[in-house]
Amino acid sequence: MMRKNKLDEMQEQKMLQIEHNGCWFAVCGLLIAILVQCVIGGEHALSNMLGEWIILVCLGTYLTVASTKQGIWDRRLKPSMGINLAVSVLASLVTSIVQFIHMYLKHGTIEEAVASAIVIVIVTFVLCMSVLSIILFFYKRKVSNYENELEE
Amino acid sequence: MARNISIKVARAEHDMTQKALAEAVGVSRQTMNAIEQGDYNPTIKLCRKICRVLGKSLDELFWEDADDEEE
Repeated sequence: MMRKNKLDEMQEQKMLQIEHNGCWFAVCGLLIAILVQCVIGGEHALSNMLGEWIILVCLGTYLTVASTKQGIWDRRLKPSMGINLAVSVLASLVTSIVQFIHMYLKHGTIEEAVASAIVIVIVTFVLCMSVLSIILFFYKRKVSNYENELEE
Repeated sequence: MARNISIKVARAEHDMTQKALAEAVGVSRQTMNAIEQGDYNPTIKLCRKICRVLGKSLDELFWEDADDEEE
C-alpha cells in the first residue's frame, strides 16, 4: 500500500522542490538555534546546543558526500580555491563575532572576548579551508573519473 | 513557455476531456492542464504517451518554433 508512488511526474518534481525547501529551512533553523544558544546560553551553551549541532553536522555531511559522489559542486559557486578562501574567511568571521559576543556576555571583559575571537577566527579558517580543499580534491577526482568513463 | 494548443485541438478531435486524457496517460488532471497551459515541460516519456493516445507525432504536438520557445 505504501510502496507505489502515487504522484505523477509534475507532482513528483513539485514534491522534490518542497522537500528541498524544507531541507534548507531545517539547515537555517538549526544554524539559528545554535547561534542563539551560543550567544545567550551561558555556561550550559555547549551541552544545550549539542543535539542541534549533531543533526546539523550529519545533515551537512550527507549533503556534501552525496553531491560530491555525483560530481556536483554547487548551483551558483564555482569549484575553486579562491571561492573556498572567501567562504572560509566569511565563516571564520561570523564564528568569531558569535564567539566575541558569547565571551563578552559571559566574562564582561573586552580583552578576553577579543583574544578568544582571534583564536576562533584562526581555528575556524584553517578547519574550513582544509575541509573545503579536501572536498574539492575528491570532487575534481570524481569529475575526472566521469570524463574518462565517457571518453572510453 | 507558450500554451500548447495542439494538444487541445487533438483532444477535441478525439472528443476527449482533459480528465480522460490525463487518466489515459496516467497523470493527474492538474498536470495535464499545466502541460496545455505551458506551465509544465513534460518528460519525453510522457510526451510519447500523449502522442500515442492522441494518434499524433511528437512534432505535431510538441514542436515549437524558436519564437515560441523564447516566450
